[in-house]
Amino acid sequence: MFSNLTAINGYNPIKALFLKEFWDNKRAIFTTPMVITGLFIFFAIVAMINGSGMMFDGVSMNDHLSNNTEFDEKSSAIMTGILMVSPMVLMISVGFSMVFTALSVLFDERKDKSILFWKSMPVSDTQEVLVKLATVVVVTPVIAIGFALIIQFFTTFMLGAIVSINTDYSAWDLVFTNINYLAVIIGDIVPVFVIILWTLPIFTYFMLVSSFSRRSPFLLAFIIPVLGVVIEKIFFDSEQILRVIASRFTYLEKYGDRYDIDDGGNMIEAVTGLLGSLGEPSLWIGIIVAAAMIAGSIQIRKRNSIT
Amino acid sequence: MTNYISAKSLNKSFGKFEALKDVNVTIDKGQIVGLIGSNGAGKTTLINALLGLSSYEGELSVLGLDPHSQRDELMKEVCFISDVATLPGWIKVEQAVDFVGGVHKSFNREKALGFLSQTSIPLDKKVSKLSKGMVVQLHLALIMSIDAKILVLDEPTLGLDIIYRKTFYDQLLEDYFDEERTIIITTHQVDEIENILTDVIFIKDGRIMYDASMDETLDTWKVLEPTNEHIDEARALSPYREKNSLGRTSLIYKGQDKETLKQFGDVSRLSLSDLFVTLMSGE
Repeated sequence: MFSNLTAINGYNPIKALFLKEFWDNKRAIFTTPMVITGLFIFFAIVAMINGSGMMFDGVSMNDHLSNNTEFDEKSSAIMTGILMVSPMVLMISVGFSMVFTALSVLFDERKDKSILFWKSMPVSDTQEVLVKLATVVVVTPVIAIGFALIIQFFTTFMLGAIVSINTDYSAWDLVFTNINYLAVIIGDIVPVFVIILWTLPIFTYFMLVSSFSRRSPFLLAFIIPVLGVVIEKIFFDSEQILRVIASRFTYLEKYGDRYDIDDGGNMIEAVTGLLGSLGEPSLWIGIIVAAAMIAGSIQIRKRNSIT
Repeated sequence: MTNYISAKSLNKSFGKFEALKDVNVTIDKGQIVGLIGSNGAGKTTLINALLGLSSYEGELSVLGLDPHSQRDELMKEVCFISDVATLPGWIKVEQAVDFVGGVHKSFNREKALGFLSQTSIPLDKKVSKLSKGMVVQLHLALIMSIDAKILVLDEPTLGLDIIYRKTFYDQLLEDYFDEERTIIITTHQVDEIENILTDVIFIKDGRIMYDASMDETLDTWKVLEPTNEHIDEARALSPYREKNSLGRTSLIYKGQDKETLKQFGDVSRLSLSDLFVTLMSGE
């Protein structure tokens, strides 16, 4: 199945464009999360063998498990919470990968002059830019979620092993049947895409900068808002720009709350809260701004073939 | 439709610099056109306009399409290799073949693999690991496997050694060209393409200086190396230009009858590079 997904059999322009982006950005999209997943598993095994256990909420997981002996709502929340947190490092790194990919995706092709090769093919600038956008905000997180599931799968077994080895309880009762798998999977998928919708204007802004930047799109992308904030502060003594930027991250922050495992229902609440934010007008204003940024990137790519 | 490309009063400026000035060109099906000019003459600007890579003023129609707004549609029927267009370093040879097959309906995969098997390019290597010549060979193999109406080659053989350049042009004629296609070539190596061209266009400072078929060119322009006793009579026939090199005088004529000239010495055809120098230097 996988080889079918990664092979182009005959004429299929959209698939070819997606695979092209995948090959081009494989390191950020696939290799980095794979290595982080591998490292996670490796260090978890080392920690398990050393007996120190994983640290969670300031308490060693082994201690946590030995001290919590009741099979109640709370122990289920703890197990589910451990699973949800386990891919955190991975997801943070993927967030950075998405930023860097967005900043390079329309810049590198001009830098290495391959843009003229791409333009010699019968695909429009619109198709190219939309596929690039989808690569950043859909393909990259979907692959990351796949790795997150691997981490969680492994973590489940590790929890079971720790329970079996270190306590008198049955791994089946305390771990495997005690976890709210549905919450874990919803918690993997829903927050990621809600946060991406909120931050879409930022990602598309990065793509716009990468479409016209002559040197370092990274530097330029950060200098523009920093200058804006500083100028606004000096001349108007206000912080509107900063506030608008920060408002896009409100739900990223709220999403962090779900890790508060002392309250068993919190995760579901956090997820429903996130979904509820889809009704906010400011989210949709952001999406309109993002659409404008993408339209701008398409026009610039159409005009500026050669740097 | 026999008229593949038609440009009327085409202009293009970059700021104050006028890269194309009132260019009028028509190119028909079945032609192999050499677009010849010095560096900065406007060759690439003209080609970029034809390919929809840049905007322009004036009327331009390629295969009935407006290149700039319909580039993706146009590229189904037009292939090009630009002197600056390069395959990206990260792509593997087989991925490049797969990609072109994915986006081009009329790409012949077997043909491309056939061309590649004649080279020493490994399919599993990345482009960044290939030599400069191999990258050009790969690019040409991909492009020549697309069944397109117009092929534009902007300095195609730059960086290739002489043996491959020769086989490339032979291949282009034998395996690629037919009367349904049109090929436009720009190159500095005018002599290499002279015998495959059907038409020639000279461009200088953004203007078309000369535009004629090769048959007409060969018919019109001749070189006479007069014998010493006939040199004055030959000069009386108002040659276009007189050249002296290594103690020998040669006279270039425009539109002079071959039989007339034969009486005064050896008559030969004027090479394209000599014609270029004759027309572009001086007056």
